[in-house]
Amino acid sequence: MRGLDTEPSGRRFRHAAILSLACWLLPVCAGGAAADASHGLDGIWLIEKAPQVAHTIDGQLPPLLPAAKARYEEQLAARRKGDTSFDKTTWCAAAGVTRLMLEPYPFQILVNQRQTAFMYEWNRWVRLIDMTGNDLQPLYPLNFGTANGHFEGDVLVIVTRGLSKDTYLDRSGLPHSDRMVLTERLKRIRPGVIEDRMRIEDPDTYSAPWEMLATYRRQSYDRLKEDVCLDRIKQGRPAI
Amino acid sequence: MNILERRATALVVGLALASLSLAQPPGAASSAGNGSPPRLPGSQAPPAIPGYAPDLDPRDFRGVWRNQPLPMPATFQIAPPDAFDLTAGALAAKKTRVDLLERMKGTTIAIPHVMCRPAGLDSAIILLTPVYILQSEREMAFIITDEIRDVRHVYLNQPHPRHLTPSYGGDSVGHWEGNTLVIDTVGYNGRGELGYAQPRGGKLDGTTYSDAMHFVQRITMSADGKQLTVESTLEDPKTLTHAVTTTRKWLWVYGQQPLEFDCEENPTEDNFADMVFPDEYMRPVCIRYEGKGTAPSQVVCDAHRK
Repeated sequence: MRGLDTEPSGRRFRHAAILSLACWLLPVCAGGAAADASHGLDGIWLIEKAPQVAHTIDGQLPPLLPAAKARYEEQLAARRKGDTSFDKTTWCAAAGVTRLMLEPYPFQILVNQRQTAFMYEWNRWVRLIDMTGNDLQPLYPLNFGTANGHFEGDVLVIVTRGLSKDTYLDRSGLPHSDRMVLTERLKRIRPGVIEDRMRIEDPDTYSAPWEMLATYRRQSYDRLKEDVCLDRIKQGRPAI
Repeated sequence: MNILERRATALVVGLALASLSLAQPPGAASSAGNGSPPRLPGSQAPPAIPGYAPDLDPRDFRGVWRNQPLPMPATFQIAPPDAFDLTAGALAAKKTRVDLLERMKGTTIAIPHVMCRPAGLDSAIILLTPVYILQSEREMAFIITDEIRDVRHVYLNQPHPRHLTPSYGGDSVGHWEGNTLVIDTVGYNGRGELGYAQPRGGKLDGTTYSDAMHFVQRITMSADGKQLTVESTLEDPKTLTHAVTTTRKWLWVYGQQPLEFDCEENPTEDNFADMVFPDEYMRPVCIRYEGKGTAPSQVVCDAHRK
């Protein structure tokens, strides 16, 4: 599957067609995700350019409401003084969805028919996206929220609700509320590169919906290492 | 309650709730009888998800599985303690741990599980919470999102890497023998424990396993797709005089909304107050101290903490 991105498009199409036919005829193919592999999302990815601060697609700072902006600026000032006590990732607690998507740590996508997994190397976090079409609702806020996904052609669309306000959108500390709705559209944009277009809707924190965009390059290795954040900080290395 | 006792209580409640109806198909336990998914009582009761019917392909493990509970304390044990015939070195190490626990009047040994590290064999066999299995042609991923959060990647039809970095979870490769998935795991870092540490009161088993552990798991699906038979064989010449084989059943779950376990989130001072640390490496780097007066609590990290 990892070779799909590097194959000539004609050959790739023939392989996909043969695979689809075989899987239709042979129920044994249900055991893998091969039938869905034309989206090209399966594999290990690393962000091409990790931002210090998330910006809108047109390069602007996100439209923070006054109270949220004041809180954000307080945190920026604290960080400049070396006080990161507002950021729980510094003691290895969870980062939020968008923050982990913007950090320079690899992650693996594995698409299955009923679930898609984003397996992040950073402290072994996993995000599971329900693909059954049942529109799961949040039971309560979680660091990774409650996510429902579906394909529109080769675009994986993920809508996540119930995201805990105790996480941040990026490493600078851009805030969000529990009412935030994150809509992502992931797709392959060229061989070996995918993009994630992330739309933030959070009327408690931002005056209008806004979008950010990140691109990721497929990695040549095929295994994530076991990352244990607490062991890393034990050795005096950064938590994130 | 300390951190381990709280987790044990949560587990018992969770297993009891799970045994009520999660193993039933959507609609089977609906009080309204209208085909809607069964719901467990209480806020910790995620609804089943329609569409999670088991697949009858014996090589398709994709879905959600839970451990079939055993009578206490067997649920927490990889195998009964008398199944393990320890080497002289392992016996001496165990005695050291037990003596330390008694001398320090502690209630919990700081094993990787309670110190927010991957739980190794415990996670692979005991399953405190459901495991989500996803698979592709080259990998089976065993994912636990709730306690104890873990991902076990099993790479299919390939050898172990020549140069392994020792880890809590080891390196796992797998292949099919007929319709049985055979998983071979090596490369442990020697910090794992054979079964969750038990509080004092005659249940303590401080047995650890070494970096020589060779763990083989054979997993076979039942004909109706609702059960996995999980046979685990542990071979560790530094710890055990002979191999130990134990068998568990994992039961199909009709879908469970993923929950989360953020172990590191709140490392309060009292969590560690009655722990003993036979392995100094496990001492926490970050601790949340309660503020005095109106001062807020604060997490302080010190990599050189002794």
